[in-house]
Amino acid sequence: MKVSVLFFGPARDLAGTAAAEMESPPGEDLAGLRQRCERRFPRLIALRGALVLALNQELAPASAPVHEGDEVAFMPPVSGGR
Amino acid sequence: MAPMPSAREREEKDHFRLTREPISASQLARELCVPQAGAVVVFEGVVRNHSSGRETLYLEYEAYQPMAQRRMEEIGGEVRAKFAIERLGIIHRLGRLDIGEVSVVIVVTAPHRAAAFAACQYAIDRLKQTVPIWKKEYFTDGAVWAESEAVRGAEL
Repeated sequence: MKVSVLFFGPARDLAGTAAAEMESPPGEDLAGLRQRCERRFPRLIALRGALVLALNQELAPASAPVHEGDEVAFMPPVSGGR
Repeated sequence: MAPMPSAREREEKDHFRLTREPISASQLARELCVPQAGAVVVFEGVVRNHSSGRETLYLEYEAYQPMAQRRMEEIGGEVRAKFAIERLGIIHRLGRLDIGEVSVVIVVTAPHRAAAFAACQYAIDRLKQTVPIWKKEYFTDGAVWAESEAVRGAEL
């Protein structure tokens, strides 16, 4: 099944692209998808522990299952001013 | 005397937007002024010329646009639940911004100033904490993505 993945901020720089289409096996969760993204874009490993994932524009836990046509966003900590 | 607008009518006149064009705070304030409002608070976030002791050349902002739009509207709902206001407007700019340019404007109109000030402070704090917008700072000797207050509260 096809899942569309978006990369923002430093994740976009590290992936070298703003978006990618991933082919997910049935039953995959966000953690699995993230690992496969890290294999395809190894520089993303630098963001381990500093990343939140959104599933269809809502923040979601790593255990959330993905489905055909879902949109997953790699969201590094949001910028803030003081 | 004209009837008082309902809560729903008030909400529909709130204003949340992402834009690549320069933002006019005074125009937004004019749009949100109503006869019931005795206070107008305007916050402008401006690109400053330094960050962490380095000289900034310019900034670039990018957003996860549909989610950012929705989060701004949700902040509007939170503000309305907490403060007695008339209208709220939040506009955030995206793309390249030079020193002195306005990156974000928040306008609150309310019958009284205390609620307007408090609502404005709340809205900018929540925006920084929860709206997916990223800022890249360009210096004379390189560029970095701004570290942040983060999605810390949302760490999953």
